[in-house]
Amino acid sequence: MQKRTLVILLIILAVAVFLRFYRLATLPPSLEWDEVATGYDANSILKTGRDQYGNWLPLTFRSIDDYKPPLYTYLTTVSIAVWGWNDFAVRFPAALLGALAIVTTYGMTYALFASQPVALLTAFFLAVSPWHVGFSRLALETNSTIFFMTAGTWAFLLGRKKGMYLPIAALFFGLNLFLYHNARVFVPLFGFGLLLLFWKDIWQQKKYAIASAVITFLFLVRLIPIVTSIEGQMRFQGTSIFTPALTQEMAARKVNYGTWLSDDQLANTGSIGKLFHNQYVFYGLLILKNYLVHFDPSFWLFTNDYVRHHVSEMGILYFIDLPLLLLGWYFLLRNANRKITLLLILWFLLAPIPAAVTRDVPHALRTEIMLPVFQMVIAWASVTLYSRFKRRLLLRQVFVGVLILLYVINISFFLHQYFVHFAKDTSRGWQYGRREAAQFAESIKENFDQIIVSTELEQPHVFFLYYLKYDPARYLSEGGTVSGGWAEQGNHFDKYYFRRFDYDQEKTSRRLFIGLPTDFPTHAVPVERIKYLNGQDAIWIVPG
Amino acid sequence: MTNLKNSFGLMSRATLVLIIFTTVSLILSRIWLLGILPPGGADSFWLRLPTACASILSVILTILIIHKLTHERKLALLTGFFLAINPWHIEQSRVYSPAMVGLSVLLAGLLVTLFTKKTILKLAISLPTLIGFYLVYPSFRLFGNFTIKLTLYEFLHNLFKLISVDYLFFHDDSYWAGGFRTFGVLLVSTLPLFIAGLFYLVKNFNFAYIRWLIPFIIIWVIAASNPMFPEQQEYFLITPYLTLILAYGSLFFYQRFKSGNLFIKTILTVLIIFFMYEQVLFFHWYMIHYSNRIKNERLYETEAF
Repeated sequence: MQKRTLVILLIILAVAVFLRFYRLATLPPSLEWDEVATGYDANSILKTGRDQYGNWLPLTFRSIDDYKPPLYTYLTTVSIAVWGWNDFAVRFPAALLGALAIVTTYGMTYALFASQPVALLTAFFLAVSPWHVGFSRLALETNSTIFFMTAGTWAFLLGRKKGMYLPIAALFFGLNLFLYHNARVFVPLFGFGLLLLFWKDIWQQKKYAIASAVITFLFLVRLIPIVTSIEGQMRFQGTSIFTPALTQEMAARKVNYGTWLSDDQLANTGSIGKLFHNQYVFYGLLILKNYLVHFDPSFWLFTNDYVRHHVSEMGILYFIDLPLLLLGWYFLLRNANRKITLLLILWFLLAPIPAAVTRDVPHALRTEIMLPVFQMVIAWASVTLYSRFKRRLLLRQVFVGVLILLYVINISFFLHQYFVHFAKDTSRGWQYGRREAAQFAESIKENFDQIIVSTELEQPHVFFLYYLKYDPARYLSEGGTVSGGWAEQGNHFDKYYFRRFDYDQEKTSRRLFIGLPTDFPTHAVPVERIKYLNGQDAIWIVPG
Repeated sequence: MTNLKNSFGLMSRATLVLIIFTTVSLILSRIWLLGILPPGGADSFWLRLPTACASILSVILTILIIHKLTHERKLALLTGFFLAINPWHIEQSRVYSPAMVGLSVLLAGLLVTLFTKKTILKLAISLPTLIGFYLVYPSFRLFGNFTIKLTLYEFLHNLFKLISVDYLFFHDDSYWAGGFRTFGVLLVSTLPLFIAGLFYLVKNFNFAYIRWLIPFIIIWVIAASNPMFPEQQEYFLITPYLTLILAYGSLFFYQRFKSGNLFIKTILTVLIIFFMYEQVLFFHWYMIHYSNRIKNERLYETEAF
């Protein structure tokens, strides 16, 4: 690597580190339920070797009944050991792997295109990508998967010539299977595609290829019992379109199908109706739609996804990305190496498959694994356009100037929205107020025998355990978590009880009630009103 | 007569089948049960007949224009065929639709200009075309009080909605009262053709295409700037563009089918079966369920207002 390239890469890395670590603990404004559960389980593992349910070094964390893959929680255990038990430590692995993904992306892109400008630009575009920056600041497994994917692919591409990298690729891909649910679908499909594309090169490295196959086999042997177990399928059950819990849109479509079948019976076309309006057509079209909407520019630029997943008035890509993306695909299809193009297409098309069978689509988090294909294509477009203007100096300067200007405008807008407005705009989505509620209740708990926390606060037990830094060993000795499901009424520790309540029926002077404003009658007088950052009431604390 | 016989003799069987299919589709889907499907009043047939005729004319004009521009008979016929069976085109053909009549006027004007070599004559023909367009489609956005009341963000959002997968293939909500909503602008089974068509056009991109993109962009912008969005009919004028892409996609697949191995042939056969299935589903839905929905909506409107 040339010295100049190294300096540029280090500058890009510095930008990436700044964007991922600056105000990490306080922006997003609070830890949401997955982050809190991971933080508590990681600390519990560190102190007791067991999770909140008392399971010894589990390979699947039951967490909030979503049965998380284990790798991110174990990485957080290390982080807590280093930084202490706090919000920064919980988010630290995601931010670190987010920053390291810039380096692995550079390496992978260089191995693919053999062009330093393309590799550097890809690294830069990923460093400032709203999609990647936003999710690098969350203690969720999804973003870390980008690091393992790019590292694994980089090692695989190097392994075509130097076989010793192939086992490293297998290791990264294998670890990815224990990091994120979607990777369990995507990685095998993508890995198979890589083998098909480069089997001639791999065949030249027989010894290392066999070693890689053994490593892969070991990971799969451990994984298969997990994914086929009831616990392993719980997450799929919880998010899939095949469960009885329908989204509003699905419910409306089901009603339509029912109406059509009745129409057909009245029109004496019942048998034809069954051919058209059956569950196979219903789910087939739904899956197809769920898959395809992830390729919609509307999703990339505006996104109707959760408010947590993007800043206001912006999507997960920059506006200027879109024309470059289209041009990039055009240049790739027309001129680039066929295998490179096929690899990128493969990655791009496979990534949304796991999300296609889930509810609440389009979903930026479940499809983040598409990164950094966008950035590679955009970088390719930029470099190709630049090279086309090589003989026209003025045009080239204008092109570079305009591109820089447009990116400065786009990036500035994103940073402004993120660092100035995001917390206030989305604090409700981040389940803001649980920390304040827990700390306030703790400060006055001596006045009460029982503190009853409404389960309408969504997994309140794990928020209170985390924010009160409740000793994991003591919690487990009191019985640990019964279930994380939000209908669960049986969790408690110390004076805290987590269940639904009827304020008027249950109030006594020795009880304190914590819940949403809607949990209380209008005549209830709160001793504390905790507000979202936009000023709306979030949580009421009311003595009996 | 001999010439006609000869020209039929020169046609391949596929071309002949395509012509027959397009003709039958046009007559059946535009004229048959016109007065009662969708449900209407006593004189619905006569009210709808001009639109139905304009719709048939628009298909014929599209075929002639594409043939004149590309000199490819199959491409022209396929474009016409896809337009003839396009759900949105059928729906608009069977109601009183200024947009459909306007489309025919524009296509007729375009065809005449294509046969004219002198620029001054082309401009001279454009004027009566625009006047004709205004007369048949006075509600077109440009002719009214054209003000853009949307923010830039809303406008861009609308622009991208009009080319979104959801809108194009699953949920055309541009015309609420009487519109489809349960189908997209195109049937989802044509998606592979659409992708292949776009791929072909991108791969063989020619700067001469840009002038043909300009009308599309103008219509797209006008439709997206409608303050009533998504309720608008201007975007209907782009249907020939969409069916042209499908036609390119079909030719792309046809070549693969001819030269492909068994695997490719099997995949393409499955796609054809899916396409036929969805086409029948569409007609079934249009005749039974759409008709019922319109009846219910009429009843609701009568009772509510």
